[in-house]
Amino acid sequence: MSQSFKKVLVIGAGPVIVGQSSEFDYAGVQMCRALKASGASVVCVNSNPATVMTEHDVADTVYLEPLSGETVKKIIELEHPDAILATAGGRTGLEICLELSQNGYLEEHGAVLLGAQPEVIKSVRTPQALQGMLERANEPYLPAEVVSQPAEAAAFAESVGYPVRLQAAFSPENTAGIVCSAPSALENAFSDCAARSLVGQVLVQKCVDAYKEIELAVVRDVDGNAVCVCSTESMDTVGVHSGDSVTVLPAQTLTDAEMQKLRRVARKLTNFLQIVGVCLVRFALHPENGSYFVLSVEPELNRTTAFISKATGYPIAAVCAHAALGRRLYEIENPLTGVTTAANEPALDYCAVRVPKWSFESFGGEVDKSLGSAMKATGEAFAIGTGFELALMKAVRSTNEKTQHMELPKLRRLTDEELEARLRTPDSERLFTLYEAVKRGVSLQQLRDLTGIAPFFLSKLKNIADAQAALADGLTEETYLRAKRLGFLDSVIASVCGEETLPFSMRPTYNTVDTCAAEFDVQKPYFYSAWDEENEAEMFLKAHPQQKRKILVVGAGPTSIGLGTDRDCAAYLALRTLRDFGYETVALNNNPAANTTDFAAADKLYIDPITTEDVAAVCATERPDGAILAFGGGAAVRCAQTLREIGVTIYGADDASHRLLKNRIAFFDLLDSLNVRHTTSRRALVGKGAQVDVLTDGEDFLIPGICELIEKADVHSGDSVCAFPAVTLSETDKATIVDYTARIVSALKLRGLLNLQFVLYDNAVYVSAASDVATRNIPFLSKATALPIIEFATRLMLGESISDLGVGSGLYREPARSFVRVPVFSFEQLAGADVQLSGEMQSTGEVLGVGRSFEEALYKGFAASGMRLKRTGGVLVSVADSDKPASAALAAQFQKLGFKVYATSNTAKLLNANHVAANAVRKIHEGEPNTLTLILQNRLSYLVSTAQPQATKNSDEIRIRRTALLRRIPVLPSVETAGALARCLAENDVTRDIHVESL
Amino acid sequence: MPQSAKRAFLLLEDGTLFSGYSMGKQGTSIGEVVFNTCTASYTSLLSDPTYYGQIVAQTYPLVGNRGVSAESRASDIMANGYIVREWCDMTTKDELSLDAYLKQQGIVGLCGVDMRRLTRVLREKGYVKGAITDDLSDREALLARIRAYTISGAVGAITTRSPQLIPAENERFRVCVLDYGFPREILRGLTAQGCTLEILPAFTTAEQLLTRSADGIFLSDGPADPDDDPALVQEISAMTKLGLPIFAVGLGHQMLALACGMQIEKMRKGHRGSNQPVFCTHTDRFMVTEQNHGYAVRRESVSPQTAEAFLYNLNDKSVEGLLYRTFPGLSVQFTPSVDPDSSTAWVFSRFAEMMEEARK
Repeated sequence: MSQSFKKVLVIGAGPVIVGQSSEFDYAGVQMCRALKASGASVVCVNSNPATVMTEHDVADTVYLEPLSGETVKKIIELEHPDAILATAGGRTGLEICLELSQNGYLEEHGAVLLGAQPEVIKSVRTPQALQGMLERANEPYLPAEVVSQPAEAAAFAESVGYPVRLQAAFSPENTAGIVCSAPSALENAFSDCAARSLVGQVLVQKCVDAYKEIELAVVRDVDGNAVCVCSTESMDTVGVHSGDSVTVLPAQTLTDAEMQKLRRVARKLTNFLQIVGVCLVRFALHPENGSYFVLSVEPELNRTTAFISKATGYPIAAVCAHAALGRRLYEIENPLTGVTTAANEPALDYCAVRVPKWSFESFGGEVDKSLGSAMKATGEAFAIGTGFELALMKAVRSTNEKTQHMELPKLRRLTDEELEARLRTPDSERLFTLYEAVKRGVSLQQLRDLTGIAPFFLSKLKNIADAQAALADGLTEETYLRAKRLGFLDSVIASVCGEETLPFSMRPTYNTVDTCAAEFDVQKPYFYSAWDEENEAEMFLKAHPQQKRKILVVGAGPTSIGLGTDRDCAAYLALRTLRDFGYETVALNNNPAANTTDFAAADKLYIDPITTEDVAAVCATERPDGAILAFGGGAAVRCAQTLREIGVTIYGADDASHRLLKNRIAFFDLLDSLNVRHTTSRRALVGKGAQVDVLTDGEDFLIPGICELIEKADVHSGDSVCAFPAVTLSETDKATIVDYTARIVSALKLRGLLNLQFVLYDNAVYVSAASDVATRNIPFLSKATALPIIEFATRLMLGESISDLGVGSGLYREPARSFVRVPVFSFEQLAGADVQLSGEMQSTGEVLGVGRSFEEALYKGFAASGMRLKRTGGVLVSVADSDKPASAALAAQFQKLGFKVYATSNTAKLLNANHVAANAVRKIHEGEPNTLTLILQNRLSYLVSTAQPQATKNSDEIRIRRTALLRRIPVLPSVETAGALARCLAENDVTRDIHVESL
Repeated sequence: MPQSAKRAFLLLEDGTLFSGYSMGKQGTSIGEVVFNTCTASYTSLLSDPTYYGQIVAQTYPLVGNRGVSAESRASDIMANGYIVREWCDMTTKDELSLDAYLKQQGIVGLCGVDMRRLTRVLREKGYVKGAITDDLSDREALLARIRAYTISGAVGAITTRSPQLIPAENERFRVCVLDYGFPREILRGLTAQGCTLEILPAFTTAEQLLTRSADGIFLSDGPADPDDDPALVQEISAMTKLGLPIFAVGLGHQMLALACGMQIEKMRKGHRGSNQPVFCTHTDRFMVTEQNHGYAVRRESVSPQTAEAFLYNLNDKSVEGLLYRTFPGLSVQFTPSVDPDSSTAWVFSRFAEMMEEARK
């Protein structure tokens, strides 16, 4: 008796930032599919082009627009949906829901909100609201109070019991707070925090850092039927954000009584809030006495629900969509089993372990790698094992490509004291530090005292260390087998034993993820490696003989800054293409947030690490005819040789071309022989940038479009604002780019995709770089040109020619509209990381702006990236010496628009000399008022701040940029971007009323 | 898993062999092999007397993460054996390890087996007998012993010898509990309703009940085959004529159905786990239930004049609960949770209502 809707608007989550990867896209795709299956037409809005939910076969109509109440309302007025679903839209989606629900807007437009309801969102979105809700539900919340006097803080601490955490109540800085375990420490901590608060107030909170952190996902339907899908437990205690901790599913260290209690509370809260859909409840559980606090209640799909869905085979997002339409859980079939429904709580006969992946290496040495209450990981990998050790070892090598083990050689050099200090303060190398300590024989009790980690986890690390020690003592069949069962790679065993080759070799078996612990015979082949007696993947093959050719697509693993969600989109689209063209598809990946680890993405799915041994093992069982590695990044491409040796054909880019293109000297030699101008390592040319993504069959080629990079070419192309069609390139420039492309293509003989970077300098075009595993720009370009670039690339890899694609060759026609790709950074999340662009890519995600003019597209792109675009106020111009000449024109532009221009003394002098009325401000160290005061007093609307090339980092500059960011003041890292923005602001009709249009 | 552990095996009646390591008491033990998919701790699993005569294989992979605390050591293990994939030897100072617990209780255990393979075999074969052993020297003799094995007299072996009284804090009702050998936890659901409980041996007659001035009768869960002891069923038949409300669970539910003329069938695959979804046709809602049984009431044998099968299993549509028409009676196949917030807790208050009604 479900409700039926004709048209549903699904709101996406926007760009990838730290703490928010592709999990929302995965959830959105599942929801769109479920809605379409119910007969509804789906309209989807997202600002992030690197999403599968914005693909045309997923949604019927796609809007790539800034995610705000304003634009969503415009879409509603254009599309007249009768329902709106934002459960897969993250925080952004929920906030938009709240806006839409005000003033009778939805009633007026005949639409209802499905999924999370405004009252529910409001009652959990802030700590105060959550506290109120929990009070009404009679559940324990974390007591907190804002105080102005040390005595008040002390009284509060007495009432809730020590330890307590003190934090500056309103502070521009991102601080972790101070934990006080006794009254004696309180006074100093109070004055410290009060000094950093703008209003002298301090937030005092009961500190539960040493508690266990447990999450439970409950799914409930409109009748109030509810199941508790699964629990997860963090290895680290509450003090480390659960997204930054190793997490195990299901929870391992709870007693029956504790587990039952938490399940009961989670269900009770879901009922109390009358949630239809998912409710994720996060608990702090006392490690000894079983008392608990509810830390958060989330009525939305997120990272944890994605992990739970993948690890249990219970598709939470799809179930939520069906439930939102009014279907009962028992009416929603679980496609994995084909026999059970969403009313069956998963029964597990394995455990899954999730390990975070950080991208600190992209941010230079100064970024703070310590872990605390704010999440810093950019991605994650998970693994499934019949035991915790096996799952952990697999997940670790999925995130740690270098050593593929829990060891970091540099940690061996630490003294015991240094090691102990590292253990006291969690950082991104925690697991490795712990393992090093276990190997050194630090007692588990001592480790527990230092880290608060439950003995269960420590004893598992010890099992692994013991197996390693046994290997080092002697390589026998017994020690080898023991290590293999715990998840050691042959290469790791060889290096532990100091052997070149091993006398033993064992291949894993594969088990099925079936949600029912083998109670039912399931239909969907979804596997993980194990060391059991029977190989279920092999059994499945025998029972289901296939005539089709079979292709394995290897995914990219965890999301990191260099390896974004664009790879996952590409791999997903490649799988779809293969399926459409009659192949049997097999996916291998380990990223729980990815679309390619959805069991619907391919005919068969393997969750395992991407190393040569693991990939070869999958191939040994599955025996595919071929494999596509090009969408999986370096780790996948490096498997090429091994796979070829076992008879798997590699389609598309492989290690040979990868090596050539990565070797700049060899590549530049090639360009010389082709008479193609190029930059050199010695002479980096700083000029305009351009890039093309080329589809090639080895002879002929198709350039979907030439993109112009707005930032100077020394900025990584992924970090630059990118315009398509190009804005300032001449026809001659474009012709040269096409000509150079033709020469390179015919020399490389590649099949698939090739990305070429150009610098335009002194009226000439230079090639600066090339890559064959590049997909970063593809989602943008694909959406802008409406060409299915990945589908084309896949077909080319498999042997079709450019002429088979049927859209011509050479340079494809330019679209009528303008498109801009704006990178999105996560500097706010990462203390110590500087907001400066360099040759190393730092952006975590991107948004697309589309408009009738370049200015409009750019404005919308900036707005979509989260910038608050004000039309009045002040602009502080603080530029590197090399940018000073250009800064005068820029300042003049802003002044003409009515902005007040500020600059530090030297720049101000220069601007004044160029007839710009710049106000001189002091630098921070010159005393107050200064540049920082400007920001704190809300007098700045924009900060133009460009880096001194190779100069030592100026701490004043970093502080200014960080403060601006935390105040949500747009920081413009280049004169070019700032200039483009000024031009946008000059276009009145663009900024006054945002124009919205579907793709 | 201890590295030094001794090899041990599970031999099924058809000769299928599984190898693993010995755990708990060493030696040979025969039983009906059943799997359970619940994630509950082994202490609550093993202390369930309805496993009498059976060898329990727990599919959940990591068992022993918590040791046995003093309070959960109370009841004796009725199972003949225990099989796990991985025995994770984690104990704190006040706890007894799984291995030590099994040794103390004299239970033969097996760990390190390919549990998925075992589950598949049990799933496909249905009712399987087998033996855990560390001695395969005379396999044929062992197979013969396995094939000859039957569980009999289970109820008689584990029912209480003498009546026990559990007074309620605020007594509203007096309930006679017929003890067929069941986990005592469920009684908390009854006492919470103000029931003072008198636990009686299984063989108590209807006539004897008359002298107890009870408001209602609770027929408990228990091990084995409901057809095992026709005398028990006969007595239950007599009890239904006393005019007292009857509430029955598990084995009690099956025997009550038999007593009312319905039939019982051995299921191809029993319900053993904590995630069995049971649908209620009265509320149009389902509950997630805990179950452990291999027999069920035959749906076709439920006549509308006798009872209404208002609860059924969403997976296999088997009968999960009956409301009787000829006397005030309610019986369920699953183990209701005593947690008042749970979706199955209503059975206790429903029984209380029936007793309230019967007084009028």
